[in-house]
Amino acid sequence: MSQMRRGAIEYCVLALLRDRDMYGFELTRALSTAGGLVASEGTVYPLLTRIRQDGLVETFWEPSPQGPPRRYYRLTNDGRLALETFRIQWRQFRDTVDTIMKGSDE
Amino acid sequence: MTTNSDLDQIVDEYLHRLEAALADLPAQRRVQLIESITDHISEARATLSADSEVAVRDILDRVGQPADIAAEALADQTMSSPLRASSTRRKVVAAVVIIFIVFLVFGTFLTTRINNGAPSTSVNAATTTTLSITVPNVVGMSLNAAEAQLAADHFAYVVVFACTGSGVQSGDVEAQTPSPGSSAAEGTSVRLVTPPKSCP
Repeated sequence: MSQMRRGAIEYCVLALLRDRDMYGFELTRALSTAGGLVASEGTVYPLLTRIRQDGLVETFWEPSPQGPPRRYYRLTNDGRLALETFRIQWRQFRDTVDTIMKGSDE
Repeated sequence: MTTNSDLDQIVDEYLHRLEAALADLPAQRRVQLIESITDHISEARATLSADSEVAVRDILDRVGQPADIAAEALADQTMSSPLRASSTRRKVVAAVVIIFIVFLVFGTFLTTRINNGAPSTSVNAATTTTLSITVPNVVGMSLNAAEAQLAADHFAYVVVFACTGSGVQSGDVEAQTPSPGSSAAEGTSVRLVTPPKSCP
């Protein structure tokens, strides 16, 4: 289960970055407030480091209105492609699981 | 009464525990993770209306136990996305092509030298493998330019915010370790220092 959750979170990160670039704090806050997804905010960072190394996201610095500059994350073309592939696979997977679950309810 | 430096100490203590918990990770990943979490904690503290011990401890609770983060980092290392395999393949192909070109160039060069009857001292140059490379000078560059330069030279990087009073603007590299011109192994993490917005 934890392996499945870890896999899904990776794509939730990519999905959050689809519409706009985000910095680490706002990205991890968004995931942690979603509820039931991540154990703690800190556990998201190993995943961010990995998808950065895998080339699914890249980072850049932007000045912040108050404090020090912020490291922003943005989707790469590889990341966009991985997200689209996952969306299709996820829909099929979810529908199949839902159908089987519904069957066992009755 | 808890002072600001007491609160900083609580954060430092947490970061030290995190660093110890991450000891089994490769150095490059460990420093990147610590950079991210250090920045996360400062951002979280900046959103507080009043910096208090309760609030700081609450932030650290939300970040999570160092052991949990370490467990996640170690578990995550074994995960591989399908894209990583293809990017590794691309790198291997690129390496083979480069080696081929090097041989081609040196082969032609050598033949020319032999034909000219010159001593072929360049043979050694072609066969020597360099394990360490020269660290580029990125002082004065913007963080983005510095990171691009280091990535192109196969170095890793980590950014820390510190006031050293040199007058460089925030977002530009004020200092770097290892220093420019020194040699370091490929993949070494270069530490870049930039001032946070306001320095006292």
